[in-house]
Amino acid sequence: MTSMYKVSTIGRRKFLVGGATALAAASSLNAINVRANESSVRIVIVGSGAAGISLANRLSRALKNAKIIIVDRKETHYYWPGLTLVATGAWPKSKVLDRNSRFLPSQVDWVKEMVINFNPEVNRVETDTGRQIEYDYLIVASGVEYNYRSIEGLDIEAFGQNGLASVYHSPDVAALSWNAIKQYSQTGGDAIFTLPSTPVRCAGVPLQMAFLTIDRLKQNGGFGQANLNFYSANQNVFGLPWFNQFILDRFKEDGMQVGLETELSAVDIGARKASFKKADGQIFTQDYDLLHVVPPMRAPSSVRYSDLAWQEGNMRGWLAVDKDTLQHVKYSNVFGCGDVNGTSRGKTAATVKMSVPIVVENLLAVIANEEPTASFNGYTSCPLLTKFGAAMLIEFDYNGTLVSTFPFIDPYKESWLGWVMKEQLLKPTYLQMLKGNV
Amino acid sequence: MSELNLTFFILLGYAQAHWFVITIYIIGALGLNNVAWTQKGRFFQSKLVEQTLMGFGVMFVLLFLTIPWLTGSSLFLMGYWLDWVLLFIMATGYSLASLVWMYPIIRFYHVFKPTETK
Repeated sequence: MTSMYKVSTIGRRKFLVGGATALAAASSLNAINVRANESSVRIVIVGSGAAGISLANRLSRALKNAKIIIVDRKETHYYWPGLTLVATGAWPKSKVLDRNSRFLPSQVDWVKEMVINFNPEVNRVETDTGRQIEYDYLIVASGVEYNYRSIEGLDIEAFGQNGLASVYHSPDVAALSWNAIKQYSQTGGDAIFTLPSTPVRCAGVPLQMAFLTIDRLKQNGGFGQANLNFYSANQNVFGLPWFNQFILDRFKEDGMQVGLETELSAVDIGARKASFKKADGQIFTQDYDLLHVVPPMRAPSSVRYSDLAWQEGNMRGWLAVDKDTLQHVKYSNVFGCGDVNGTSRGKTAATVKMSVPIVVENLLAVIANEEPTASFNGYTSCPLLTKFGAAMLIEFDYNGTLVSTFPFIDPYKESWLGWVMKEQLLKPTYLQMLKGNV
Repeated sequence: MSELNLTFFILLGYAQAHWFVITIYIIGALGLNNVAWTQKGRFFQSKLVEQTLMGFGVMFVLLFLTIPWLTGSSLFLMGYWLDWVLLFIMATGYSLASLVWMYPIIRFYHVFKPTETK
């Protein structure tokens, strides 16, 4: 009875302290919101991808008197997480296309131009028409730039022909890539899958392309004639050791040869030859019937060559934000969100989902002359499709610690549940994220 | 709490994505039950309820066996206990939902079936 009483007392005390803390935090946040809400600040969001649109929705709700401007020419919205399914023939291209206008709140001004220069010293951005847009606060959410040109001989127009595929470029190229993969899955031959040394958007996608192509080979009769190769420019194929080993084991079962610290450097499209550079500088060339190219990625040039980018270190060229607050390390009125951020992990829609509320909360704090206190843990997620019909739901933070949204789901298990999440539920969730609901 | 919020919006988003099917389902259910209600005799009859429950059982088995395939997967890929829980919930849910169409249809069958002549 005594121990029960103790437990109950501690529980109640903890509950009261916790409740009081939560109330204090809530009332403090509310005070920030009220002060921020009264201000008629001018906020510029650069980029109308998942992060930009989600931010626009949340900010327009939080700041009724603010002038919010989003700058991006792009009118079509791409549902990036679905491109893997387009490139492997599971989805039609139309399923990943939408209109940005459908998601942008009416009170947000949409400037359909591209930012080419950031001038944070004078709080101004310049667009490609020469327009100067001033701001009080800036959020950079301009995504990544695919650097296909760094691969000698690669021609974007050639995707879909001569066994050349890439899931990343666009929905059009993903659909063309399916032509190449479909043909290969019927005949087999030499296939090469690549992974560059730069940070990549959703690091699971190159692996999913390999897994799903293997599944297509098995379905379409080409598996017996297939010679499979995966070349990673890194020391592994996935950042988390357990999953890295799981993937290597699975590749081995399917006869996939894996080469590490080996980066695609050149392609001869007509001759179907790919050249690779190893870490020791050695170069070798290999014939292919299917080459799946994952391009090196970097921040858009407007960010890369600006004062907003990290000037040194392994994230050089990416947006220099504090990894916790996502506030710029030099300019306190600038925040970053999404793939453009120069943080150690996380270029996924899941990262956007978790970081947008952090950016909004910290921006509201800064507008209210408070210190930004909301902290982002680096959450990222990868529903790793291991075959059609099964996936692993892997969620982790900056430290590589697994952080499951639903604790009862075991990230180490391949499951149909994971597949249902990816194929059926992720897109509706993504659309809710765009609207600023999740 | 955030998990509940997320679950709510996942389900809301899923419903929004399938608004057309859901609309047809609701309109069909309302129409069928409205017409069935106006037919002669009591609306709920134990014989019809029994047959509807049998229909529920058949529907449950059918859905349990085909839902993985309908979602682009296979029963053979169900290696995780949560997969079976999800499959059970989905098959039960869709079977329960089918009852509001099934009962009036069974009732129509009994109202309009040709009477046997002795």
